[in-house]
Amino acid sequence: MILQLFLGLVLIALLFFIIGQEKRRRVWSVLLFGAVLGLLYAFFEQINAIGISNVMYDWIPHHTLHANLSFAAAGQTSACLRVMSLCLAVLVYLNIIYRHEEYSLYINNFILLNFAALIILLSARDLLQLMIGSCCFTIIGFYLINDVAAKTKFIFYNFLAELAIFMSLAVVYANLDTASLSALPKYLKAGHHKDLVSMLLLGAVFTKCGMFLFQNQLIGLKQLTFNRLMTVALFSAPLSGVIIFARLFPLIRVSEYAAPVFALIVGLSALWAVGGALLADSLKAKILYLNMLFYAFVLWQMWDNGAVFFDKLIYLYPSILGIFISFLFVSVSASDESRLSQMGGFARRLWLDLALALAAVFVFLGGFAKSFDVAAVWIFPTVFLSVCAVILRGVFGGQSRADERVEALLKNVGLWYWLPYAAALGWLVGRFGLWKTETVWAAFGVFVVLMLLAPVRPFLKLAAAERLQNGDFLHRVYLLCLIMPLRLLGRVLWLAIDFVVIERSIIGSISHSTAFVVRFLQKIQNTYWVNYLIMALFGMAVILLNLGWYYHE
Amino acid sequence: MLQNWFIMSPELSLLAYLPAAFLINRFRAEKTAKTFFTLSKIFLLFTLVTTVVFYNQSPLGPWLKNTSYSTLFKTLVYIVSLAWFYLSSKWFLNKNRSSYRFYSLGMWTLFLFSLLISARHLLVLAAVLPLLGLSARGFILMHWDEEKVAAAGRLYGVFAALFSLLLWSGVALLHWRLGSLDYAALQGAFSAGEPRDFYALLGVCLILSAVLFMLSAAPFHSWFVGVISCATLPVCGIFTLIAPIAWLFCLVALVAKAFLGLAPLLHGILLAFAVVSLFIGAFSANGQTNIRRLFAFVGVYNTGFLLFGLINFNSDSIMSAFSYELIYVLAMIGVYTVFLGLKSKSEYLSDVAEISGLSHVKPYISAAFLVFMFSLVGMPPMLGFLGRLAVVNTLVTSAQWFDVGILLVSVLFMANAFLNIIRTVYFEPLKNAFDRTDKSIYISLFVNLVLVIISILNPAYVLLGAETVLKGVF
Amino acid sequence: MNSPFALLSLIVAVPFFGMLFVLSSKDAKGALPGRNAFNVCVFTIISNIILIWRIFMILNEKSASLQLIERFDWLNTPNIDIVLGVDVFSLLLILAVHLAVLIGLFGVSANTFRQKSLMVFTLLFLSMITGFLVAADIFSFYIFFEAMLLPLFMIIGMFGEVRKQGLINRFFLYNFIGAIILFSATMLIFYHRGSTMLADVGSISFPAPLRYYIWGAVCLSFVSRIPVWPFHYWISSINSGIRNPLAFIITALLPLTAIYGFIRFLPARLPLELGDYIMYGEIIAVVTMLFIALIGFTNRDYQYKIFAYVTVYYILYLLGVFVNDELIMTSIGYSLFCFLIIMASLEVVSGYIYHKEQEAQCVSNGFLCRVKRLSFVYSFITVAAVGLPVSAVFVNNFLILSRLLGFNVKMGVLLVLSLAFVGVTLIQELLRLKQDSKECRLGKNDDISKPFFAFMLFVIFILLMSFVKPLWFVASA
Repeated sequence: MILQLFLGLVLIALLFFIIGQEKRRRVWSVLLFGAVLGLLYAFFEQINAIGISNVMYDWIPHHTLHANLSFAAAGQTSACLRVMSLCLAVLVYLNIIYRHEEYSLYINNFILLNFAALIILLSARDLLQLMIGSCCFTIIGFYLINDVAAKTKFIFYNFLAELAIFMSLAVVYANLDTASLSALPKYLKAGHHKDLVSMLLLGAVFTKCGMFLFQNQLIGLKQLTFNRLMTVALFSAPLSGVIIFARLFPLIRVSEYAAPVFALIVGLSALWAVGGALLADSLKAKILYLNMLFYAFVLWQMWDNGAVFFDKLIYLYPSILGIFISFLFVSVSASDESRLSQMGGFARRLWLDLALALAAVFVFLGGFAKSFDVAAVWIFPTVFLSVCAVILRGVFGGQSRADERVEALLKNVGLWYWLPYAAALGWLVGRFGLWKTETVWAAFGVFVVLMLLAPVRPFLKLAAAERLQNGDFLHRVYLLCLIMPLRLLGRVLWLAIDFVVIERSIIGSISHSTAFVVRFLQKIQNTYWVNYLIMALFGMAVILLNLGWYYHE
Repeated sequence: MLQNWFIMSPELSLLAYLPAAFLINRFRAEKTAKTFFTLSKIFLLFTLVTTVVFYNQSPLGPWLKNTSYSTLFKTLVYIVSLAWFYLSSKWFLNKNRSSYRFYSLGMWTLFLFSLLISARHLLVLAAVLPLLGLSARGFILMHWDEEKVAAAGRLYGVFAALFSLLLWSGVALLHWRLGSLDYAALQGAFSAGEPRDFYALLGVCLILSAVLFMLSAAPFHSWFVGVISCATLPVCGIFTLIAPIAWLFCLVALVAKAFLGLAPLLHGILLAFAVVSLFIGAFSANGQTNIRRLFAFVGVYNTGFLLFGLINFNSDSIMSAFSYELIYVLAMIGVYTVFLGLKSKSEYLSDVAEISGLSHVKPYISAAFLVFMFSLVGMPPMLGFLGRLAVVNTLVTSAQWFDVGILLVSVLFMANAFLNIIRTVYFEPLKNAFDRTDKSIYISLFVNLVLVIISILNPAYVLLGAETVLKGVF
Repeated sequence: MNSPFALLSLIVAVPFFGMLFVLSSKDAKGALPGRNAFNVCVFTIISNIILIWRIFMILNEKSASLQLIERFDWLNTPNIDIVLGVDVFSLLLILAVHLAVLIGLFGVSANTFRQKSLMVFTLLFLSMITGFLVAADIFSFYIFFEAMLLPLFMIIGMFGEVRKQGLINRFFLYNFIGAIILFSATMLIFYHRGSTMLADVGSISFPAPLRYYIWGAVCLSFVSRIPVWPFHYWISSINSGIRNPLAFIITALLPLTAIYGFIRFLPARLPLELGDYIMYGEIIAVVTMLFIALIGFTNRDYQYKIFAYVTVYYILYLLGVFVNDELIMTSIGYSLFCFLIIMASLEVVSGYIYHKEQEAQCVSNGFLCRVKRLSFVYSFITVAAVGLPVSAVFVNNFLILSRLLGFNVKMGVLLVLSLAFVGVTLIQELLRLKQDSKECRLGKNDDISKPFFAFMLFVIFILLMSFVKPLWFVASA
């Protein structure tokens, strides 16, 4: 079943790549959407009936390396796939209706492949499959991004993260001589270079999740359209990062340096994310900072218990996606305006958007309360929703700052947007009984009050600060501290070693001395009496010397 | 008596060509190069057959002796001569000049070479060497146009005379000290060892110097380079292809049959000459602009290689020297055939710059040239590799590591010289308009290449017989 | 197992006979110059690939020893027999070399400049390198080791478009020195042992002074073909200057001969005295890797970037060979198979872009935004080249690296750093081509042709299949 789903997704994607035409992308996308829904439906029907699906492909049967490709859908994996299927359906649908997506069929194909990669990653039982899954996310993410600057950052960061994973797992494999994940405890007991492995993996996870120091790869996505940035930021590299974190958590935690480094980076990431979400003017950037905050929370939670991801955190994805989509609605309604400084006072005209955003917040609150002990982790929803409140206040509250064009064209999102969205939210509320919890209502009330009272003006004042909004401090630091010295070193090595030492000194001296000998020989071999004579005498001298030597021997 | 005349028939046949050619030259109205070639071919073929027939019959007792190995060398000389005479006829036809003198001198020289190879007495050597010097001078002066040739001829004449004098002095010294000039007697005297007689040793050295001069081993090579640079192509071929075989055997016979008791002395001298030849040949070939002069140095270099093969004085070494010589000659015939194909406005080209971009218009000739050059440098899978292998194997077997090192380093410099030509032929643009090449040149090249391919695929075809024969030398 | 129908000789002979056919081929009226020669060359290579595939079918892939032995009496003095034999490793390399050259041929299919000569020397090279890879005795090994230099020199000289002609001489001489050193070692081994079988070399115990020389000479001759410092200069100065894809590919196959040489010559257990030398060699190799990766990272020339990539990977394999472990040898074989195909593909598509750039006299920045087919192929090849899991390189490099990391973790870290640099270098190039620029005048019409695209899809298919199962094309595997 799971293998059918995997192959089905890959085949559909490949088929639509080959036969699909972007001219009629919506028609093709609808077909694709239908096919995917059918496939998912069939899969979950079977899973519901049987409960488990395991397939093992004997991949590398060498006696010292036995690697399998396993496909498994059971328990946590199955639940995770369900949640992700919902997100997948939402994203595919969104790409169909979102008018700014010119290549909806192309991107949907990649979303399917991304889901297939998720299956590989989730099903991994050995190191190789884990790496393959992770790399697939990187490759697909690369194709999902259509802005070269963003693409560059994404691929460089993720490629280095892959290499870090590659290297750390190679060290582990060198110690274990088996690729099986179940053998990791052996490494923890008697393995070498644990600090190196731990730090490399931690670095890779931070990079993939876009944590502090590595956030550029995700923040750079703000140049993308909403649908793409949401897909990449939520479901691409960061998702693979947390799954790797969950799978290799014992390895990451093994070093004594891991805990302080983790706490420092995740803490700084949260702070940076909150700051960024508040100070950034663009709704896209805000989404990305909120995403960063979300992943900081995910990692924080997983540090205490890796399994929490599959038990609880995974259920936050639809609601987080819901909130992000509500921001997209605002942008769609405001003629694609995405700067907060150009919005404000939209509540009356965009009442439906406001309602949908509030509904998304409600679902988030409900979902969170259902999964977590709020008393223990209150800080994340509080901070997250506070930032959301400020954003929504900036959009809907106060006086309008929109220009005439935006003002004139302001209208609620269309039926194709809001109806499925509302239906999905409604289904979630109804399915999980989110409305029944009083705490949720209370928290929602607080959120509404906060939204009405949130201070926006101080942040709006900073909207015009170009350096703050578009400056890339970290990139400059890397450029100055890492890339420039490396380039310089490369240049110096090239000039110093290749040209000065080899070309000028070694080759030069050989060439010159050979040329000298050749010239000398040419001179003494010209057709002159004296040259003939010298040569003959030289020859006779050689003979006589030999004679002398022989005679006296 | 009559039997002796029969046994002498190869030599007599060579001599008989001379009056026959004279008569034809005198009385036949229509005579071309082909005429004399055909005539020489008939006499040469007869010589070849009779040489093989009387391979172990000696006509003049202790003076001349034919053995299976001397016959092998003679046969080789005749076959190469036949091939070269054929190719030379093309040159004469192209130049529309009389070939009477060339073929006559050629047959006379072959007669002398035949005596040289059969010689078992130093007086024969003493008589033949000056005569060969004279006929060589005759060849050199066959160029009708240039003054350079006259100068080279004069220089050669003087130095050939000088070395003939040295030879005679050596012979006289040996006769004075040992009382005999017969190879076998000399062998007996030197094998007895002590006491060492300085004058006798000096005599040996003087004789050896004359042979090394004729073999064009450096530093006695100046005449060879000077002559090859300016002589006509057919003459160059005689000096480069035929003479070394005869002189190589002369040296082998001297060493193996007369002076073997002085092996350490000969080893030292030959080694020194081999090293000097290798380095002068390899270094000087670099930076040459005249292609024939360049190949003259290749000849010097190959003499060095040959001497390296020979210095161990055993059956392996003679075999290695022989196979090296055979392979060298095969490649050099190819090179000279290519030279015959390099014409522009009816003039044979001799400057490296003139053959720039040759491969653009004459791909097959260029390809053959390429094969022969890489063969000369001993690069596998070319036939030359077998020669290199044979010589190096001899040195390795006798643990002469230093010699192996020298040999291999010299190969590098030689390779560089060839690379410059290849670069000119293949990588540089066309600068000259080349004349149409005679079909016979292509055929010759093709036959040569087929021989090369057969030899490399199964060297036993070529060398197995020779191996058996040459075992009897030492 | 002895070879039926002398198949091994046949795969050496087929390219040689192909060369003779090319020599005799003539251009049809109205056809592009050298088109016939090109077709004959392609046909020859495809025929040989089929033969190689056939050999795979009869080969026992589980056996580590050489199979299908063919023996020819060659010389009597010295007594030398030519022996040929293969195992899965060498046959994989032969197949990879054929595929790489075939890919390279597509890169020069539009070439009209002395195409016939190019095809002649290409087939000669192919014949020689195939001979080298099937050689089972030290003499045939050496003969083919040196023999391939001739066609290589001619190809570089005639088609490399190397500006400084002197460089070509130096390159040849430099390689020739390596071959001569191997020759001396070969003669010593032969003299000492009398046996000419390659498989015996590792087990011979030579007396002390000779041992140093022989192993030193063997190592030096092989190292001379890998761009390890300070030998890298001769190779880099040529490789980075070559603008003809096929010439580049053929030149880039040279280090393969060294890797293969090490594998065949190194004894199963390295003598103790070799240990120190190998350690120094490893240090130099790793430093070179970083050095060249860094230069590739900073250099703007695409050819140098590819050269840096090729070099770093070859050195990785070299270091892997020194670990001397059976599993790693298998991994090296599988990895090299894909690496050669990737290298050839990368060179061909890069060369295509370079020539388009030259034709239009503009920059190629953003070219890939406008051409779908080329964009797909280039992106895929880059992804495969940087070692992401789309070819057998991924898994096998993982195994090689794991062994190297287990062997020496510091060296392993530097290795990964070098791999990172070359990976970033290639990605940089890909992104440059994807970043649209107004200065680029190339358009949709400049995309690769459909047949070429189809061929590249086939290559991609091979890579993907090799990822799924390295010996997928062998029924019994």
